Amino acid sequence: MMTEKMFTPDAIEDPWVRTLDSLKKTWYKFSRNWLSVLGLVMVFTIIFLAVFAPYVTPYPQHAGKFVDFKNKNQPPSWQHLMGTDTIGRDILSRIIFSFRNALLMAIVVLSVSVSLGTLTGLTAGYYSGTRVDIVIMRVTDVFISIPPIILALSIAAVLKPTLMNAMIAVTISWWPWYTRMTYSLASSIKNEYYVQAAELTGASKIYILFSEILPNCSSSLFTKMALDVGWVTLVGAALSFVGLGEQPPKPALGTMIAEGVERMPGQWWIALFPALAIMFLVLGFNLFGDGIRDALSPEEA
Amino acid sequence: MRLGPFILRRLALSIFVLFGLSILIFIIARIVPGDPARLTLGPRAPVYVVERLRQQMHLDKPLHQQYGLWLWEVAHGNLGDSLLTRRPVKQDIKEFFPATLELVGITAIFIIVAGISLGVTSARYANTWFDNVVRLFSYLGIVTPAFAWAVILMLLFGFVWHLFPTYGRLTEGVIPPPTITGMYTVDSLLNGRLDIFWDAFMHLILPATALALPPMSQAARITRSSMADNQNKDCMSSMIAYGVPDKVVTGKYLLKPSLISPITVMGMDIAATFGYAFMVEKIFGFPGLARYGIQVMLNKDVNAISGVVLVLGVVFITLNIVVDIIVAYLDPRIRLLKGGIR
Repeated sequence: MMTEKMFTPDAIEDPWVRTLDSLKKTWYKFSRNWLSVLGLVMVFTIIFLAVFAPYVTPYPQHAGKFVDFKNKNQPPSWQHLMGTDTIGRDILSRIIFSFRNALLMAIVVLSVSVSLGTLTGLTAGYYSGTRVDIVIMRVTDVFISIPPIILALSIAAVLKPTLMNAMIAVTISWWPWYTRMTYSLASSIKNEYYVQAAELTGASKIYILFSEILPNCSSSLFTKMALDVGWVTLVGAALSFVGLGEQPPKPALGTMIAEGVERMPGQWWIALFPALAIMFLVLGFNLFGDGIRDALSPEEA
Repeated sequence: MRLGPFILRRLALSIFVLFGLSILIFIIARIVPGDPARLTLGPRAPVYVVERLRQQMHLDKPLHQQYGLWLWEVAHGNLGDSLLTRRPVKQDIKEFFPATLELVGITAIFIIVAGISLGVTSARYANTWFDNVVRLFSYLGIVTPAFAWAVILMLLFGFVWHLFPTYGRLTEGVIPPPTITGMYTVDSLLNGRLDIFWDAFMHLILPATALALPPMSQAARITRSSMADNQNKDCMSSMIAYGVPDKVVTGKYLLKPSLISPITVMGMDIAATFGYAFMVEKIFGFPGLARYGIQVMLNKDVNAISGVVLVLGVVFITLNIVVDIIVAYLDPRIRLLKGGIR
């Protein structure tokens, strides 16, 4: 490899320079829209808060087992920006700590769903019209025949209520959507000339699937992943709202809303701020995802 | 191609999906940790009683035989007994499903009427202040989940301004109308009791709005963009050049192709509303199937869980068929595809 590099006449052929170049172009397109940049800032804020939660929260000890009846049900004030809950824990601290599990869930669910969905979707798409296609896609159809939130709820219901099982339940209801998307992309890409050329030169099926077809699905996959972080968090919150996710005293956005709803008119801040936090999370990742879609779409400059 | 054969093929496909769904539900019901017979009888029941129930429940047979027997029972409408309410699941579902159906029905009306009219108006006055306001709000609507809307609406309209009731299906003391369909608004109208109808309807407004806002915003956005795409097509300009009245161009030739993608999305979203209803019903203390579903889920009531999922799955599949038929009616090209699948 080294010798080849030395004889290359100009640096553009260097893959690193090329990647950097295309990244620069993507960033240029991305930064044209101030909403996308706002989304990026929101996403970075959420990740920063989640990673450094013990250092940035005013009351890090309130994330676990903690009781302070003297300060229970405090309305928002300078001591407690978002108030305190029924046993005196600072709501802002608990929201920031719950971002950790929300993001962890999104990462786990999406990495498994994307790998599984891409693998099955690519295979079915490349062999579309054969028996492999029929088996994979009809199984997918069955999973897609109920809304993911109901499937995830019912799977989580029969398992033990833990964060791990909630992740399993959401993953099972999430992967078929990636299969379906990759399938429709792969089954049209396989008719492109470059795929046919690779077939004619005798490239292996693995090479064709992963080096010819997959890179051309990647922009759609990245866009969907960025958007899905918000939606996975939402379904995760739904599970914990029902009581099927992370168990108390660990903080979870859904659990906090469920607790707050019972205190509704009097102590409105207990439910409202976690609800706004979910809104912030989904909005951030949506703006970011839309920005990625615009930046990666090839047609317009 | 005619619509008839298309519908037949579509139905055949959904029978297959329904069959697959039944396998999925059976698997979910069987991954419960622990012995279902023991769960039914409780920890203090003697061993021989548990053993007898195991035989009654066919738990001693191989798995595929168990599935066959279960499917046979389900096909005859027998979903087993609920461990929680100690009643047949079928009876429970009959009691709670109409309330949810009523709620989702009103939600669907909100979504369709408001979503399409907002989208059409917004496309008609594209790039004006009205359009910009609608676009901004539809973005906010989409990213705010239904249960966050529920909390916000409840605070604003229930507690700050006292415009709408926030709990249950009827005001306390109001006697529900005699059961005909189980849906209070329909039953009270059939009985000519306008006062009860109004009360039930007022109770539905907040939960239905919370459920409708995200899909409605989505529908408005998609209607707008698909109208805007079609507006710029050559056939539209030539029609305007011929002097075809504006009403006919918009109402007939523009609306029909533009509604295809919004209808597809709305169908999926209305079906997904049954899922979000789980949270919204709990927040508003609305005694529907979803609230029942949460209770049985927390109690690992396997028969009831599979009953609820089965009913919702059937509703979802039916909705999908209806949407596909409407779309095939609107778009002749789709009828040519094999059974409408891709």
